[in-house]
Amino acid sequence: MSSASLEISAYNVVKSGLSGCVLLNSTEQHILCSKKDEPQKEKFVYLNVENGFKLALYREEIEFIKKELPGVKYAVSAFLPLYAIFLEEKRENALWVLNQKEYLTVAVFKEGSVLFFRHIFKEKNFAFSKIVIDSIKEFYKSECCYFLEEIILYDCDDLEEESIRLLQEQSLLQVESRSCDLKELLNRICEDEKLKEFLLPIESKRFFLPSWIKWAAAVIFVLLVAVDVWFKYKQSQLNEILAELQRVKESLQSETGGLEETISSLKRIEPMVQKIDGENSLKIANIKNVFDLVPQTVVLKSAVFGGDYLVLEGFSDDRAGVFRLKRSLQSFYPLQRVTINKRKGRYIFKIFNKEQK
Amino acid sequence: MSVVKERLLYLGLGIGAILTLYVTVAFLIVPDMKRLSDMKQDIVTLEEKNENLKRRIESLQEDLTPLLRYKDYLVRFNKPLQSEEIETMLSLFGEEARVKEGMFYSEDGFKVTEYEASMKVDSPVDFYKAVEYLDTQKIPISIEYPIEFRKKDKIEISFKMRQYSF
Repeated sequence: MSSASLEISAYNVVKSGLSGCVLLNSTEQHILCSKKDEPQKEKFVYLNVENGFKLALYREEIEFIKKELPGVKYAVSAFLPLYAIFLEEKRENALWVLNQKEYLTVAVFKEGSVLFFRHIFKEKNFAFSKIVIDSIKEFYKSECCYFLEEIILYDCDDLEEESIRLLQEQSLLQVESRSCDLKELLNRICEDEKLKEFLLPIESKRFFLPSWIKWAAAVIFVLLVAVDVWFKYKQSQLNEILAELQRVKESLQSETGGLEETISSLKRIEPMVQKIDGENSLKIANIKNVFDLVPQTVVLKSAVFGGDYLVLEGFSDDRAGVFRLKRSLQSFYPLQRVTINKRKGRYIFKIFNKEQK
Repeated sequence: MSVVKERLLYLGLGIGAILTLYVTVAFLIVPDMKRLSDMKQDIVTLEEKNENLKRRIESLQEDLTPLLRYKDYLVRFNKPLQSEEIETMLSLFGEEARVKEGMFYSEDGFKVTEYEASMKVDSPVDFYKAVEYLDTQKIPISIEYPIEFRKKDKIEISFKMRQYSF
């Protein structure tokens, strides 16, 4: 195997569906008759296909790909692109050539099977026509009775026309050159169900969790999230209830405060109001009483109510009326002094009344 | 991958899963549960407090009922009448009502404003009605001695008043 093939950048990889395909580069890969033994099982991975031959793929390269390209699920032999084209065209007696940037693949097919196959690394300063002529010579060494009539060249690396002309001159065979897109060709191969048996499945070395563990983890995660969401929902509900209760509490506290203040104020004014009511009523009653006691014959000119004293002034037509008034007041005001003067036929009086201490 | 490595990986993953579960439960679920429980307790406590407050309000309303007759007085205790307003009221029962503001002092925790008042009436009955009017209007004004009645063309009455306020 050439050292160039161990560089990942040298590989052609295409993404096919959810997995990838890689075109093998090893020059060790070869074709065996299906009836032949598999003598180097340690060195090669043998892929049996229906058409009477088996593919021997270089194990070291497969391991390298497993390690370096874990996303790749299928390894494709370098032989397969040419074989796939051959299956479409069925042209025999031809040398099929696939020219890549660093490799050259040659094959000869007969009756749907393969007679000859080489995958060659292009050394520096290689001569394209020489490699092909050497391959033809090598073919004729093994197959003396099967004649090549043409070369069908699939050029994925833009060969110069001069190289193709030189090949035609030196080989004395008609060269039919077609340009190709290797990645597109590889992609077509990987998606073709008929060619699936030619693809080598690669077991990934990546560690994958069993799906039941993934499911269990997902279910637990969803459960935990659901529980958390439920808690948050309940909390928001309770928060609303709490806020409402808090509002009610504040309102009740305010009402209680207002009532307490009102009651306190009312209790404070109660005795004062009773006192005012009582005293006003008493004073009016006292005044009424005094005026009610004044006889018909007595006319009052002034009355001074002083709480513990009373001064009455007025006149009367007779002295008896004045004294009747004085006597009437005596029960309330035991201390009395009366002055009476007769003027113009009237008795002008002044009565001082005082409560006894 | 070797069996040992694979088992170690499973062990690590198992421990990681258990730790994750523990952290989630201990720092997310359990605090949530505790918060929920605390909130429920807070609700019960608040409901009890509100019930107590309601009972207290009922009790206060019972206490308030007998005091309601003084409620109108409370307005006047908070907003005492001006001398002009008292004069206007006295004018309803007599003529030439005059009210002059006098001393101002405190008594038993109330502010007291004294007034010198005078008015002319046809009969002492008008004076009685004026005093009764003060009572019916729930105005905390007391009539003070000396109260003088002098008969001229009408009866001139002069007296003192005390208005109480907060």
